[in-house]
Amino acid sequence: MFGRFGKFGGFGRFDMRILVIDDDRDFVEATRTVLESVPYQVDVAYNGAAGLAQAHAARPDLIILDVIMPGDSGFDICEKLQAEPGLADVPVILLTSLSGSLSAMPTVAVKPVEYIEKPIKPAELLRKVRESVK
Amino acid sequence: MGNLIERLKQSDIFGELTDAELTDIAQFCHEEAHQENAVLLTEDARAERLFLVESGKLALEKKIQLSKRAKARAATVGYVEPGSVAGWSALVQPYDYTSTALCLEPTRVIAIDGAALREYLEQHPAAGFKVLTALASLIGMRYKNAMDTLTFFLSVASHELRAPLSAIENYLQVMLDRFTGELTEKQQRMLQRSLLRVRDLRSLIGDLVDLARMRPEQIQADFEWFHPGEVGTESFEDVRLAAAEKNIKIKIAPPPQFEKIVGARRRLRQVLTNLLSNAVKFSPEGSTVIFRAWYEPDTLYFEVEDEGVGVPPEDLPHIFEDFYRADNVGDVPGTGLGLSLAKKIMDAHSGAIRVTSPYAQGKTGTRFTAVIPRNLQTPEMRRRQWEQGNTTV
Repeated sequence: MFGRFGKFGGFGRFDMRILVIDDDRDFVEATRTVLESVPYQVDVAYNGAAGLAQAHAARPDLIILDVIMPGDSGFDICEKLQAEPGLADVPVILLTSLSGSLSAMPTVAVKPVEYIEKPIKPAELLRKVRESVK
Repeated sequence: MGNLIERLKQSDIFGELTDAELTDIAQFCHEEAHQENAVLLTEDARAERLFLVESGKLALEKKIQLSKRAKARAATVGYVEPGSVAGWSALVQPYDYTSTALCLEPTRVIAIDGAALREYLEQHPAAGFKVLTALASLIGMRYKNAMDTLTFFLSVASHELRAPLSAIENYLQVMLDRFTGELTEKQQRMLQRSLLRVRDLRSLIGDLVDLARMRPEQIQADFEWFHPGEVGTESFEDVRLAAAEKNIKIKIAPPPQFEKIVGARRRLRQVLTNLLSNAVKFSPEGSTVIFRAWYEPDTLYFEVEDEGVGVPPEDLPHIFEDFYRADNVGDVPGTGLGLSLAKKIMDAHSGAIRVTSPYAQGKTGTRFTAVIPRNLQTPEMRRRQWEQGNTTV
């Protein structure tokens, strides 16, 4: 129904690049489908190291990052991003599966950072993406 | 006999005794051989004998029955290997909670007469102290093993089970929101039903994890000042869509003004959402649910009243038990955990949760009342109070 013009009014943002870092390939696929519908340009990585490499290769406007991953956690990646001059100010949305108190998440040094709980609602994801890059 | 004394000395609980003490105890012992599947001890009964395993292996089991209608199944809670003992309730009175001991293979044991051993240890306090110290250590180790198993289960349930369900839910939501193209009516219906079932499953796992790890101290550690009106509003929002689907009207009757109280905000929201959700689930279409709150000097009350099927009188005393579901629930989905969790949360608040059904003459329906004291303290308040109490002037 919304076709190439995206669900939210047909103002495509193909110049905006979002990097999704999550070891869950199904989650990445579902998220990419939603983001590309706007359309945003989407890069993906399935672990922290690959994510950092991708961020260096093509600087994203926003990073969507899972907290729990094998190897470096989302928090570890955030700290590494903070240490990189070119990436420190890229906004980050952290994905958590912990139900309930998002307020219990540790304060992360990187700003700005938002949290969103899995499973995500597509409309909520798109809203947070728009708010994060304002 | 000499050989028997050596074998007793090798065990978990007799290792510190002198040869003279072991010689005395050996009089109460005799050797037995049991086939696989032989039952040496029955759960929740006091053991008559203590069993020292020499070869083979025992499983310690408890029966678990998930619901009234389900068959009780045996769950293994531990093992007894050679050198260790089963049947501690033969020595310690009163006992509280014992398991069935089942031979997993042909097993040789030294069976020790419980009454005779108890009498001997009472008359020989030095030996008694050594044996009971060793027994306490053994039971502590079994408790630790059970906790390790529980922790493992919780970590699996917390992430490994939830993550795939989360992925499924994401895909279903993306399809239902038409991000992958248009849907036929039938596809829409099936996807919606699938989403509902996946959410139920995720909710069950969340409840099971809660049930396994919810302890009063953990809830009390989350006590903070909060605005109960906001929690009431959030709970209402949690069920608004489900109520709208059944054309159920939720009438809200708040107090003239809400004042802040201390409590575990998230957990109290869980209680209120559970009560409202049950009211909607078990109410007929087009009916009314009343959600009210009021203060008394020492207490805040929240109440949910519905016009639904009610709770049969024989089920009322059990309604807050784990996994209990009343006989008249029909095919309304649910785990039977919501109210037991609600009760645990209210107990941790030194409050209460009450049920009345029916609550009015001549009509069906149920009323749940949650009672929250207004004098609870946050961890910071308790700490300051303790410090003041311990300050020397």
